[in-house]
Amino acid sequence: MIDIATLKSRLLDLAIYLSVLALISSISLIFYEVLHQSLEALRELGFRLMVEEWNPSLGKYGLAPSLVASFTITSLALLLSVPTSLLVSLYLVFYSSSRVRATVRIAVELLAGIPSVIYGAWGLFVLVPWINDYFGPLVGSSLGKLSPLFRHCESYTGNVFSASTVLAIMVFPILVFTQLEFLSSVPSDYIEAALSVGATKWQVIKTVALPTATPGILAGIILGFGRAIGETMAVSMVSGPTNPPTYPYSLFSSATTITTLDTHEHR
Amino acid sequence: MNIGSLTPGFFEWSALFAAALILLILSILSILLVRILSKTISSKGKVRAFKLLYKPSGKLAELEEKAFLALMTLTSLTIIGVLACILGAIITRGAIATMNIGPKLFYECIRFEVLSAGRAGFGGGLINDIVGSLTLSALATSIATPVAVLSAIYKVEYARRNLLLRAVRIVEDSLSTIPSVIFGIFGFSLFVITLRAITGGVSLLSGGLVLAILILPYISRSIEEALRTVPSGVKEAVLSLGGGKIHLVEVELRQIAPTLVSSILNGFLRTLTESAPLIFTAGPSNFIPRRVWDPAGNLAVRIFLLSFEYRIYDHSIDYAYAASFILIVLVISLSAFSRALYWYFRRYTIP
Repeated sequence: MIDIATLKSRLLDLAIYLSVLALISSISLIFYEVLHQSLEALRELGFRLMVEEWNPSLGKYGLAPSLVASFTITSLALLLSVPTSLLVSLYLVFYSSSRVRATVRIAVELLAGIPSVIYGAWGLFVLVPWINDYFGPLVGSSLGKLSPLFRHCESYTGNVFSASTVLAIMVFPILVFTQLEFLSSVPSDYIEAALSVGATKWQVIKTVALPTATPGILAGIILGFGRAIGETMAVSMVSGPTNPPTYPYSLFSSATTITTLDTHEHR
Repeated sequence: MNIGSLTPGFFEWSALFAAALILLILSILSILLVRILSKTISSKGKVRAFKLLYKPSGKLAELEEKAFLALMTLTSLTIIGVLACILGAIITRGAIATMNIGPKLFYECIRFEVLSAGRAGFGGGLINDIVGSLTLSALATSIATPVAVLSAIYKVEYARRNLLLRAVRIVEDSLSTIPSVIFGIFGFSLFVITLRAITGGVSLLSGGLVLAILILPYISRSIEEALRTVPSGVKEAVLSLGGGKIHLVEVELRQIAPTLVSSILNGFLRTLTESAPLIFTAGPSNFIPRRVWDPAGNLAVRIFLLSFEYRIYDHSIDYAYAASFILIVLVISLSAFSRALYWYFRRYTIP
């Protein structure tokens, strides 16, 4: 005869193993579903999926323009936000007083907490009109003369530049948090050693702190890349998706990313 | 060509899943790379240093120092400015829109109405979306919490350093990096199409299940971290009194009550802000859901939909701003509430 206590702990064991099973089966289900459903396309198209354009009415089902758009927007966003986040986290770790650090931390946490659709709405209602009215013509009339990459064209559903700006703002908190973590874990002995031989703070950063924290910073950038390339709603609201997707040919042209291809109701 | 309006059998359907597969592979690759990188950091712990190419103290060094300090201050100020700009724009315009629409925002459902010949726009309120958001989040959190708590207990108290523990960690890491749109089309294919007899197709239940999977790793991880901070004295006291594992777990859960509550609330917050999974599974709906098998609207999805044709239909921008305002007020007040609860429950723990 089993007493109540043993029965209870057996039940706990059972519940715990069941929940672990649920956790593992959930991701296997995701993999299975996605792989299973995409098998037909993979078998039929093979490598053409990566190089052809997407135009179902012509029987073309390639993802090339979307892939180009995704990678362009993501790398532009990282280009904008990696240097700024690095500067901010260096400032927070090595220069600022603890009061300033707390304030900026709260600001960055707030940035991280804003829903992505709200970034999208802000981009669409505030940023895109501003680009159309001021920034786009300015860049188009100056740099646009040098290269067609900067030529301005008006679009009210957004463009590559607005999408990467919004993405840069969204990725920023992730980058700052990882960089703060890794920069503040640089051993203080080494920093003090460098300071004691007469190096300025910036020289300490340049010669000791940054090289030591490089793997961590890289990890943060990769995390940010993963987040940026998978971001859906904000990007599809401000990148001006078209049907069929076209290759983004300039900073102010519309782009249709992979995630947008999945969600957007093309018109 | 919205995946939600397609059915299996179309070739587009499969091609879109192939696109999702590419995204999935990219995200898994990125998390694997991050794991490898963080392993190299923890295993070596070595310090790399460069040589200085010029005198450490001098005119040049001083100038460099000053220039970079100025640059850093400027960047930090810019970031705070950008935040103020975004929050200010959303809150002021949102408050104005809320005032324009008036109190019917909180007791009427949204509807599409013809204003005059050739003009159409939105009318009514947003109560269906507010109720939908809150019920979806509540459902998802209540599904995810038991599983997350139990798997966190598994990781801390049950697991030895074996294959299963590593599997659980990899699963959690990858679940938290998978783009949310993948959860959406996975949920659409599994819950809405395959299991529609149980979940009722596009419904509150499907959306809740997908969101539950999405927030599982977040809740589980923060509870695990909290469990690891339980003082070993407390654990030893329980064991020395002859308590079994079940008593140990009970005491530990009481001990981490502050973090437990705040991490559950954080999961709730995260579900409030998600929209990509819900647009396929819970669907936009203009009515308050009566049962879990009914489709449910959602504030985030509503903002997304309203922004589509904002130049065509009247009042779209007003409603989008009002929904953003409500959402942001909900998010900020809930996160403040979760901090307050954390401090309240801290009184009952053994330091």
